[in-house]
Parts: sequence; structure tokens; C-alpha cells
Amino acid sequence: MVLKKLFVLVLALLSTFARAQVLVQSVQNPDCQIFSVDRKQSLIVKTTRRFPVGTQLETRRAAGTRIFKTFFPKTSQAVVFGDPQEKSAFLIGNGVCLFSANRHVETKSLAPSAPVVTQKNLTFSLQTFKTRVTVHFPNGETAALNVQLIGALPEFSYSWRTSHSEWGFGVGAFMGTAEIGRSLAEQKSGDLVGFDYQANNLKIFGGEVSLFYLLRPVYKNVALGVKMPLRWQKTSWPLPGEDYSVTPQNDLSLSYLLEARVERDSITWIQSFGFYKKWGNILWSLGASYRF
Amino acid sequence: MAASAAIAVFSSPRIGAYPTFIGYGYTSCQVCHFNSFGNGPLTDYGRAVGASTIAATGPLAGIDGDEGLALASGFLGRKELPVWLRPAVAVRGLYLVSGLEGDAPRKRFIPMQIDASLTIQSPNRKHWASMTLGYLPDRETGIKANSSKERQPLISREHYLSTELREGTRLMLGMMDIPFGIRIPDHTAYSRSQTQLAMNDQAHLAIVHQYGESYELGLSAIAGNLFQDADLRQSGAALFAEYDLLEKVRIGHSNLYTRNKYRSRLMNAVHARVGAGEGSSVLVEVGSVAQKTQIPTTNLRSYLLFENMIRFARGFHVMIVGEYATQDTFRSAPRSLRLGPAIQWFPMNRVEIRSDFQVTRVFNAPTVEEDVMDFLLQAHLWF
Repeated sequence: MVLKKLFVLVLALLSTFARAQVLVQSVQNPDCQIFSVDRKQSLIVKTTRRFPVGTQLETRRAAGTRIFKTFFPKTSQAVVFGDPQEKSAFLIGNGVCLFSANRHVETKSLAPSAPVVTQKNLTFSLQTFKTRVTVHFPNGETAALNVQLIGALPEFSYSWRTSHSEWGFGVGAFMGTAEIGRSLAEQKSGDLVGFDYQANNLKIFGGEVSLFYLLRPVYKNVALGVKMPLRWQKTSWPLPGEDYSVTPQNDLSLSYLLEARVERDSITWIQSFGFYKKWGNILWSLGASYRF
Repeated sequence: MAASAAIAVFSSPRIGAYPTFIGYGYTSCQVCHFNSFGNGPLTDYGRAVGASTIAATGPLAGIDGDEGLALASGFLGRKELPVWLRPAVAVRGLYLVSGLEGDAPRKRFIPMQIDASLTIQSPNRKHWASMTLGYLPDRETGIKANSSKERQPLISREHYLSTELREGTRLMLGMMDIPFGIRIPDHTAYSRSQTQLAMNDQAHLAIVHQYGESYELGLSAIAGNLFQDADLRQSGAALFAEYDLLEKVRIGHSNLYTRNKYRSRLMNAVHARVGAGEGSSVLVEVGSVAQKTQIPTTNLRSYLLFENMIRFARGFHVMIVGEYATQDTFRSAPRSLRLGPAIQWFPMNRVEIRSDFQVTRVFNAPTVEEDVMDFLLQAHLWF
């Protein structure tokens, strides 16, 4: 008897777990929506009522419900079918949806499994970041000065994507301008207080390779991830005078970025925020990408 | 009200919200707010859609789900008020830590908004009078108003009459915000500070609001702020227009000309709001402000706003905001770039928590300084 009760309890727990899975899957489906033609109004999935098995629903817009158009399935026709014994129904939309009596919705892709697909993207970004250069004085003293840069980064990327994750690499070129100005951030000698070193619109160019990994935890068109570009860049810093030097003229550095992407059709808005070379050197990038 | 709110959510033909909520398919402000161009008290529909779609379900979801949340979104919860009476209260506080880049960051609490509204509407909900009173606490103490005679602790944020002349045409008359650009709630944004259309810059005006299936127009005749001295009032006209380019893609432009005895302003802006997926969106606005003063020079300011809202779960959004502004577009003047990530969280209906990390970088200044870093934490409650 005890074993039987235990068995029933385990079954109950398993069924609870199964229901939880169903709920999770429903959250992950942005397209499986339906509206009732006879009521002439849209219904969000959570309020969808059951339809008789075999009912065919046209997915046209009802008059006066234009605002709810995002809730409509994109397909031109939806078919409700199911097992009469189970009294459950399915909707074929962009995916397959199970509408049960207790408002739980299950979705599955029409494909048997989520395959890995490859993507190629061309991205154009505007970027700004901060770094420092070191001025070496004839007397051996050094001083670090703030430098800020702004420029453009055209980039080609290649990636492998599943339904929830994407990883890939990119190759790009950077062109921009830099400015530096009298800010003796880490002056080590009182003799340097009056030192005047200022320049702007300095040309800077370089290239980078990057690795990135993105997650799409909820919606297929919203991604968040990390990106690590390895950049080489060259600038000709003007020398304050004879026997002075400014370094680095060439720089090879890593950046550590968080990246957010929002996709609409083939266009993706990309923003990256993080640090160039080290904590505190903030890098921000805003770009648009075309997938082909 | 509860029943009407629920009916509104699931059957109303027009809906609206924060401009970023175009990602949810809500393109227009006018059904969620009594003010056709946004801001101010929410309509029944706005309350219900906020509770049942925007905010997380929270601990009070109960067994009725979203329908129950919508039904309980009224001023007194499920208790219905007469249809003609719509009160509202909004409170917003800010904890600001500024100067994070230095050794001694400054921490402050700023009561940003303490507003009470009353809207009286006709039974058919086509005509109403609305008034919002704002309490201005002393900035230093944050508690009681300044005793200065010139300072008024209570101000009218807006008071106006709104009437539907015919379907698709509405007339608003009174003191309110001037429709211009994207009306984002961040009053310190460059798009609002450069245009001087921030939280205390309302004016007396008449607006004709014309709207159709895929467009909105707002034509404003501006008398200026009549509480100011006559020679200070900025009077003139403004035009605001938005069009649906594609599904969940709106583009628009704004033009404004005002002048007083001492200066004139001509402002132009174009903007776009793009929704992507469910709840995510991108806003872009580019604008210019040409200002002429008695000194024979013209100053042309310009600004850019880029705001990206990403919905990760119901009620939880990550935002990335980038802004650019210059005090003089065609002369050598400092250019400011402000950017940073933010979190906008509606843990339950009537509660908004927003956290911003802002970095301000100034280009073309005499010296290249450290970036200025601020942390902002806002709590916004409404009833």
C-alpha cells in the first residue's frame, strides 16, 4: 500500500514537472498566437479558449483590432485538430501549439530538431573608447595621459547558430580619430605641472579579430552575449620636442565586451559596452548589421 | 471601472504606452494616457494593459491571472469609481551617486515627482478635463518646500480640457507639454534638456490632434507659460507628426518656433521608433535647436538620442541608451557623449524600478579628462 502511494506521489511529481516544462516552452514561443474569428477580437494565448477538434480558423484580422496585429500568427491559415478522446486541440501556426483546457500552451518547432545553421553578417559600427599613452621626458620622467578615440568599424562575421545560442568570429578594420590633451593623469614630478601637450583629430587605424558568444534565452530575435576583440591599432602621436617619446605608437590589446542584439528580419541592431584593455577604459559601440 | 478596464484590454482598438513600448505593438500614446501625446495620468485601458501585459504578474496575481490583474488596476483596485471620476497619484524618487570616477562620489536622494491628478470625463469617455498638481520639495532637504516667497511648493504640471470634435480629431486646450519629438520619461536626456522641454517646461497651448489608421498629427498654438511674466513667455507654434512606415515602425518629425522679447527658438527633429519581436524596440531622434538672442549671433545646438530596449522576460527590460549633444554645431565647442546600460523592471503592477549606469565623455574640450560616471536608481509608484 505504501509503495502504491509512493508510486502515485512520484507520478504526480513527474506530471507536475511535465506541466512546468510545458509552461517554460510556452514562454519561449513568440509566434504562437491565435484569435477567434467569431468573437471578432484578438486573444492572447493565456486567454485562448479551446476550439472544437477539426475547426479551421482563418487568421485574418478582425475589424478594429489593428493594434493587436502583433498577436496574429503570420501564416494565412490555422488548423485546429487533436485527439477527441483527450479533448485537447492543436493549432498549426508558425509552430505547433497545444491549447489545453487549463490554459497551458505547448509549442514545438515544425522542424524535428533545432539544427545548427551558419550565418554571415556585415556590420558597420561607430565606436568610442578611452585609453592612455605614456609621455617619456628627456629627464627620464614619464606621465600617463588620457586619450579618447572615436571611429568606425566595418566588420565581417561568421557564426554558427542554434535556436538559443550563437558563436562565431569576426574580422574588421578600425578607422577614426583620437584626441589627447594636457591631462597629466599620473604625473610623477612637480616639474611636469606646466607641461602642455595637446592634439586632436589624430588619425588612427587598425584591425581586429574577435570571438563572440550569444544567448537567446527567451526570444529568438533578442540576444545577449560576450565579445572579445583583439585589436591592433597605430597612431602617430606628435612629439612634444626633441628627446621626447610617446608610447605606444602600435598597440595590440584585448577588449572585454557585453553585447546586446535586437533583430528585425535581416537587420540587427548591435550595441556593445565594456572595457578596452583594462577596467575603467570604457568602450561603447553602436552598429547595424545585415545578415546574408 | 474594473469591468470596463478588462473589456478595454481585450477589445480596445487603440492602445499606447511609453514610446519604447512600440515593441509590444503599442504605437500611439493616446489610449493609455489621457494626454494624447503621452505623460500624465493613465486611462483605464492604460492601467489595465500595464497590469496585464507590461508588468510582471507579481505576488498579487491571484487565481484570475491577467484578467484579474486588469480588473484590479483601478485607483482603488477592484472597487469601481463612477465613470466620470478618475483620480491618480504618481511618485518617483531617485537615489543618485555621481562622480563615481573620483575618490569621493556624491550620494543624494532626489524626490523627482510627487503628483496628484484628477480627471473628470464624460460618460462616453470622449471629453474630459484633467489636472495634475505637482509638489516640489526642497532639493536640499528633500522633505519640505523652500520658504522662499518666489518658490511655489505646489505647481500645476498640466491642466487642460480635451474634447473629441469628431472621430479622428481631438482638441486640447490648457497647460501641458508641447508635443515635440519622442516623449521619453528621462527629463535629463539631451533630447529634452537641449530643447528645454523637460519636466517643468509646460506651456499654455491649444492642440489639434488629428489621427488615423497609420498617422498622427499634432498642431499646437503656443501662448507660453502664462504664469511667467509676459516678456518671458515663449509663444509660437509647433507641429508633430508620426507615420506608420511598416508594422511596428514609426517615423516622425517635429518643428517648433517660439519667441519672446529676448530670444527666439527654431527647433526641428526627426525620429524613428522601431519595434522588434515581443517588447523590444529601438528609438532614434536627431534634432537641432537654433537660438537667436539680442546679441547678434545664432547658436545652433544639436542632439542625438539612441535608446534600445530589450525585453528579456515579462516586466524585465534591459535598456542601452546613447546620447550626443553639442552646444554649437558649426563652431569648435565641446561635444558630449553620454551612454550606458539600464534596467527597467516592473516587478508588479504600480511599481517600476529603474537603474542606470551613465558614462559622460566630452570631446573637443581643452583637456581630455576622465569620463564622468553616475549611478541612478529610481523607484516609481503609481496609483
